[in-house]
Amino acid sequence: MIWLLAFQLAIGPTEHYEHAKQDLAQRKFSEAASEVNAALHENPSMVPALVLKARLASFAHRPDVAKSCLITAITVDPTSEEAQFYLGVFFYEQNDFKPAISPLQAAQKLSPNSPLPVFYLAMTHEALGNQSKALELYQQAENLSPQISPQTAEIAVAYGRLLVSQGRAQDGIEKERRAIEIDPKSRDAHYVLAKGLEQQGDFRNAALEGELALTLPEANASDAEIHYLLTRLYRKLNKPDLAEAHLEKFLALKKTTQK
Amino acid sequence: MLIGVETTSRQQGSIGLGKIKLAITRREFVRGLAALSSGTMHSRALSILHTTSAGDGQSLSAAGQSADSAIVFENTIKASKIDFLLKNSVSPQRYSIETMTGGVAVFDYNNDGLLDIFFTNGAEIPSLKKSNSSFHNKLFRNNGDGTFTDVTEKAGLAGVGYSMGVAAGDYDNDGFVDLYVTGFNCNQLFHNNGDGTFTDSTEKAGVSGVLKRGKPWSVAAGWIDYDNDGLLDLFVVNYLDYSLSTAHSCKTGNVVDYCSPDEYRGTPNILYRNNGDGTFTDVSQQSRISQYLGKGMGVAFADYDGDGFTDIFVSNDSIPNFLLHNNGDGTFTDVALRAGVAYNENGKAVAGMGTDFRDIDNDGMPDIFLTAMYGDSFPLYRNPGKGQFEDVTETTGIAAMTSRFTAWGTGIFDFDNDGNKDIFAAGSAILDNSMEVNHKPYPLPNFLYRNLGNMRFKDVSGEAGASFSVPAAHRGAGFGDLNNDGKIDIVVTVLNGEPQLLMNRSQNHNHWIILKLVGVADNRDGLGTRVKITTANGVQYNQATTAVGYNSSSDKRVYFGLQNATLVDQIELVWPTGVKQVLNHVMADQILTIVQSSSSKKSDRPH
Repeated sequence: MIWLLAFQLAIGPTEHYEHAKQDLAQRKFSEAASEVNAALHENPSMVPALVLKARLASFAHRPDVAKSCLITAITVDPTSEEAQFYLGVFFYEQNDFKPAISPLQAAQKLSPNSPLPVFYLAMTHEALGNQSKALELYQQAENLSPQISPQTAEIAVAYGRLLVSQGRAQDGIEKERRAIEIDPKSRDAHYVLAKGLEQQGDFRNAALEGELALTLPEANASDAEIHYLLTRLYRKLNKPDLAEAHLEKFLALKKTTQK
Repeated sequence: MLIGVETTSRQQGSIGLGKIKLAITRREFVRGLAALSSGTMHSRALSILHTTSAGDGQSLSAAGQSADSAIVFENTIKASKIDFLLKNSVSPQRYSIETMTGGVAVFDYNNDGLLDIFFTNGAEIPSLKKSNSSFHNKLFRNNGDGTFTDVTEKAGLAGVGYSMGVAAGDYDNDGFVDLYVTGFNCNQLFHNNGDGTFTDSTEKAGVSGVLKRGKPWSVAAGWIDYDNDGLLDLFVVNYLDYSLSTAHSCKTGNVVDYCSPDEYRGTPNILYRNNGDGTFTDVSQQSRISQYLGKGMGVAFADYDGDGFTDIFVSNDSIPNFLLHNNGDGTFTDVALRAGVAYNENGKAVAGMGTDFRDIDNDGMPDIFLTAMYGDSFPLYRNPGKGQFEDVTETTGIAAMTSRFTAWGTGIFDFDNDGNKDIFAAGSAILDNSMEVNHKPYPLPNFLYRNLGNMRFKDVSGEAGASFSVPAAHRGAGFGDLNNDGKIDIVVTVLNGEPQLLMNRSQNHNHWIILKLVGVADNRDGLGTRVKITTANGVQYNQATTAVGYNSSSDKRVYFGLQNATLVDQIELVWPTGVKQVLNHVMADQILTIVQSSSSKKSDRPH
């Protein structure tokens, strides 16, 4: 027993933290939580563990715990890019956009070559309605992102969506096509591409993209949104039966949501 | 063909001031000087100071004005002597009604040619009584010199209950505009007696707004001749099935909050048909209006499909909007879904607030705009005809300009008289604790979106004057030319604050025409009349309506900005009963009264 206790005591906070990371990667949330708590029990100021605990708390819908851990982390080490970044992400996900800016900017300064803080800054500014700033930051994030990566695709999708929402269909279409080259299964990219093509009056290809989007795993663009888009497109294409079919599916989904 | 036409025109002439030629009468010149010296900035006086001829060194563009001259407003509420505070009785329980009052009517109650202003007001909570004069609805008479006089007591318009909105219309065709006031617990019809007084005729008329289940929460109303019989009928917009005694509290975290409309069921709207004898019949059921349960906030009328019957658009809160197609046989059908105006372009029902229904691209087909909540954008639906609307919110730039705001009152008017109708929106969040709950500010500024003429809009709020940078809890907005200078002014209500009297001080040389319609076979106000004008710059369309925006009622006169055209080649009117009337070669820059001619032809086709 003593040997066991000694053995556990011999596993320092770093090891507990590493175990927690592995558990999180394997989506073993309870185990990860235990390990990270053990790490913090031994070293309450361990910044990486605090950040990891914050992330776990966010998954568990405990924003109070998440916020507390992140603020503690930044207080202990303001130069932790990870802590600053996740604090910014935390605020963003809480729809508290103004406070998100400062930690994301800090993360950007601490890690100038990383596209993620810039990407989140772009989305934050977009949410605040600072569209010009958002566009500038999306471009920066794109420039920082490796040529072919899931990150690049995500950035391109968001960038394109903003461009399309501004009526800049052609620019938005180019971004979405790039996203699709990297991630052909991106539902959002196909959906936004469809909207851009609709703006340009290319209803046929827009419908093809919309139909394709429907077959892909659900993401930000919901089935209801895509059915609604297709309803519109098929009406414009003079295909009332198809329009009606999609409208019925749209309405059915609306009813389900209302229940 | 006899056309009864009176003009309030400006006599062209030069008043010997060097090379300056002034297009005003001597009377207006003197009035303007008096206003200047008294501190009320009469815009006509301003234009005297700034008008130059081409020989004075400042050359005008070929269009007769600086092409990019700003649309500018000045808030003259202090100088106006309007003493009104909109009281909503905020309670710790935060009853939903507290967020919703604030209607305003801009109308000429005494037929002196000047627009007067009527404000609705709240009441004590929970008694819902206007326990003292601070809760009274108020009528202010326009004195013609920039000031207004409170004539509420004489008029008898203090009202009862927790009032919401107002609709102005001459329902008995006696030449005097009446008022219908909606409320949470009480709706009232005030008959204008023509002598400065009004009589509460609600019971006699049968328009109390009470249904079998009780009195629903009425928010807005509008006057419409839906059956083209020459009499104004009344459409009442109802909101939630809500009662103070059964309302529950809502919270966000630990903060008591106003409940979302999702927490309550919707209610049917009401259509009252005018019997022509001072009474109305509730035809909600036979018209099929009552089968549609809504959470209505705003209403606007237009004949969107050109079939000669006025249709109804209702902006609903967080559920699909209604586009009630007038079938021409006394019934309506909601076609919003098929027409593409029920949802926004992502298939989402927005938190619809105020609305206007007007031709924004001069193609003859009325388009729809509504304000909404932050995150929604304010939808703009273009009507290309054939019963289908296009959501152009994104392509016009409106989405980018509105997605982070909430707004209430709204109107589509040509504020700079350049021939393109612009959009005004009265900004404010919904929750007075919005910062605590949503991390967003409660008071917001007003917004002005200039129509660039190519289905693009530009946010020109920042250049519209100091009044546009003042955030407040704005609610309703009424539109009309309060000083008859040819430029549209705006009255905006503010919760727990004094209203804003936004006088249009735009400095340009654009011409204009205002049409005051007088129906004979048709309703006296001419509401529902469709108007097409032709000038050297092209054609424009509009219609006579007072139902504009949120909870509010605007001037019934029909406004057109003419840019540099000094002549209107043709004015074509199609009255609701089908009478068609044409005027040719009409001078610009006048308020023209057009009396419906009895010898005009009934139009075979609506357009």
